[in-house]
Amino acid sequence: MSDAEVMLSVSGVSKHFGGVIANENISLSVRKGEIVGLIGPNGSGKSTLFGSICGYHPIDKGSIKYRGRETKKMRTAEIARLGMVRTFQQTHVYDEMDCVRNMLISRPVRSSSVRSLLHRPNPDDLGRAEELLEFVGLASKRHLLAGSLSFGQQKLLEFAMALMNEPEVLLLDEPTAGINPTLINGLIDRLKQANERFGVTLFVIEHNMRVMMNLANEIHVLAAGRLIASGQPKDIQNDPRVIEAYLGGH
Amino acid sequence: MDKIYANIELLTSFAPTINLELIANGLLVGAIFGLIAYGMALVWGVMNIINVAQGAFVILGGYMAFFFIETMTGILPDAPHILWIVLSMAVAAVGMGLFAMIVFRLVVDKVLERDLFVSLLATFGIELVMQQGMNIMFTAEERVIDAQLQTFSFMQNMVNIPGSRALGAVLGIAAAVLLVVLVRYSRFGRAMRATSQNARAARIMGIDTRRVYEMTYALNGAICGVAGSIVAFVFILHPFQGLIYTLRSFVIVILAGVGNIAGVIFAALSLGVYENYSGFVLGPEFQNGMVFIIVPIALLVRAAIMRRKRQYLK
Amino acid sequence: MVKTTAVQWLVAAIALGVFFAAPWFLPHNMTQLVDVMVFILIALSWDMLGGQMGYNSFGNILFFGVGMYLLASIQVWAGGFTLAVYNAAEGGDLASFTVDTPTFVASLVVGLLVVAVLNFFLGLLVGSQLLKMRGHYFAIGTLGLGVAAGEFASTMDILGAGSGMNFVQPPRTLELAPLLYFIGLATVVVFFILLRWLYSTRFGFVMNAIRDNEDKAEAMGLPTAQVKAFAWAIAAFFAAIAGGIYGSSKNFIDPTEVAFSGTTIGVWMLLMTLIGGKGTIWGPIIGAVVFQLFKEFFWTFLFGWQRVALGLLIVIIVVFFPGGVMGGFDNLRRKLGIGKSTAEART
Repeated sequence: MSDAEVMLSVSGVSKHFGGVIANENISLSVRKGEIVGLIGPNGSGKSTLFGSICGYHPIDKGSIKYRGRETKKMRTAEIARLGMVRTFQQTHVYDEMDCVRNMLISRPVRSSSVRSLLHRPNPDDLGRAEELLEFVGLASKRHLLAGSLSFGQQKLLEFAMALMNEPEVLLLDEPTAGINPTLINGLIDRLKQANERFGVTLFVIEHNMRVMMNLANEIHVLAAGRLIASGQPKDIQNDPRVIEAYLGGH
Repeated sequence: MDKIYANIELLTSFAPTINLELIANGLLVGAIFGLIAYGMALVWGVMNIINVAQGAFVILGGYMAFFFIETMTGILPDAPHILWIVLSMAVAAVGMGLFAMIVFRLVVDKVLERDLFVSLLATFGIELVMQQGMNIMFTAEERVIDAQLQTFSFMQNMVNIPGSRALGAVLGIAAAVLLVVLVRYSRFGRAMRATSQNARAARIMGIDTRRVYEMTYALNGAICGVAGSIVAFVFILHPFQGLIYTLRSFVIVILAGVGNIAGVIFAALSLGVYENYSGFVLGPEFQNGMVFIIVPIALLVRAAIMRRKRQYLK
Repeated sequence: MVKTTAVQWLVAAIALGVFFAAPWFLPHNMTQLVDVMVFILIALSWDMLGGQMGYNSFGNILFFGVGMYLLASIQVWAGGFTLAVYNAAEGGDLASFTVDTPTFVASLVVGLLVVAVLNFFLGLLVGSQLLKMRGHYFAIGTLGLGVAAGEFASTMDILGAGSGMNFVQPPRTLELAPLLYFIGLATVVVFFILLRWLYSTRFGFVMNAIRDNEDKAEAMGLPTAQVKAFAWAIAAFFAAIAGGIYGSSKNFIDPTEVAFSGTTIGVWMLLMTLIGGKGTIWGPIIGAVVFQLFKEFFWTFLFGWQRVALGLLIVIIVVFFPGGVMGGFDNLRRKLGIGKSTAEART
């Protein structure tokens, strides 16, 4: 594993909003084929880090490299076109379109030119879309408007849409939050499949410890904006600093 | 172009006192527009509605004041004119407040939580109806109230300030101060602010948001009434004059930034001075254009500032 | 995606037939018919941005006016005159600026094309800046720009300043109105086919995605900025042609009331699309026709009260019929259980 290509390299990244320090001097890397986890108590800056990585806001200090290429000055769309895509805690789908259309519009975009858009949708896309909807278990709902789905179903749709985009690295922000507990195992399975079968490198924020331990090869722990621990899941579980961060006073 | 250079030279070397007059008049006029803009900003901020009928409200308020004064001077010709002018403000305020309430119940209420454009069209429709309605009722004759005030001259007649304008500004500022106090310290003011920030949360806290909307719109009507009564003796009343006030207050609210109520006064005064200078240096035919071009420029500047943070004007 | 069924082709053919035959049935209403074509063009171009892409825009006013002035100027130049001299002439003197029929027609047709292309690039230029703003602020910015353009146009003596500018008088033997009508109709047909195609491509898809959730579209790598600019440029192209035809038909350009008018064309654009139904391809067409009918009715039979009537119409439509005619069809179809609604049909 350790000789796999470094897909994402975060070095010394700091970000503050007004007077609040959201991320301070964070450094970590994600290698190809891995499933890396990011955990930490509420407000520790996990989502902010994702936002910084994907270009949602500029960072104050540090560097972010995707496959060796500096991305801190790039906009979200450009970064997505390179192959790094993210999902959100609050689902973002196209409410007024049905699931199939949501999928079709999420096909990979490698060029920013208008000309590449001036032709009819590719019929192969439809097959792929249906396959992915099947994969996440939304096949029966595919003609419903995305806005009419339940929160958990929207999360699944968002996950399917992300896969449709054929990312190389997928950042998932709390993928199991809001999902019916009985379905979580199924989702964990699918995440693993996405990683093994589709070759997608995963970087996951999770609150559910069981899910995290089950999924991740490596875990990083944030607390109050700082990286306090990194390592294998079983080591992190027993790390006193981590336990302190979660149970210690706020 | 030579004319423009000549005008600039006039301002900088030959007759610098003209600057005083331009600034003073600009501030006075700006104060009056600021009052109208304040009302528009309230409605926009609280209800997310751009009241295109704002100018028509002002003019109608002006007519109310006009006819009140006409009637009263007919009944009691010896009473001081100033008394009627001040009273007319109250009459117009109440009258337009009620009118606005009716308009709200008939139309605005029904387009409240919809697209901004829907409400834009709706209030535009109201403006059209009012415009021609007033034309039919009051005819196209221009009406003015003679405040019977002198013009104040300073600096050997280089700086001339019409007394009516000064009075108008003073009354306008007084009304604005009253408003600001009301919005900041009253319970209604707090309800307004809560609703403008997050209507759903306000409802959960027990605020009757529909009533807040109604009262805000009515308050705006009252503001327009007061402004109208001022317009009646500072400018002129004519059924089709309304749009000018609407557009000016629109520009002012954009300049200040929607939601920035305090900034409205400052933006209004600045615009008044800016407009005066534009008219003087470039010529009066450029005045309107210079005012409107501010809109895309101000928005672009603000958008550019936000883009550095990768945010968007919402 | 818009699937083209046999019924829809039939409807389109019938509509085309009706429009084609109209001049023979209503020979005395030629200027109104020209107006209808202009309205259809401008409503379709507005709907592209507002209905399909979610960017309500007043920007079309800018291109409408620029197209108008530019076409008039081209026709003046084609006659070998200079603008300065032409616009300095007054009243009866204008009759001395005449051109022969071939020159007139050629300058009209070629002029419209030139105007359209120039405005396409103007749209790209202006759009690249203004489209950095989202939603309502974009609309407001474009309104300010459009109205300011009118005010500045009225300061320029070379364009006739506040008193406006006249189009070159058409030669006596030429019937201008039918010519304009058929040029307009041809443009409408081209625009309709273009839009039909465009909305069926991925480009149309992206437009809808921008409308539904622009942030998400960007997050998935879609080139939203480029799509927005291109869409606006297309809208500018056709808005400019509409302006040219309208001005030519009225023969007289008033800078703030006719060319760059927020309160007439600007509002009517929105109203027409609303009447017909936003975000559908037939909506703006139906809306334009219905609006024209109402307008003629009000101005002819309710003169003196026509603005009151128009204002009331606006309020009634906005409050009670926000889905417009196409929305009404939707409801009817749903009640009768026939076919798909236009919302589904857009899938």
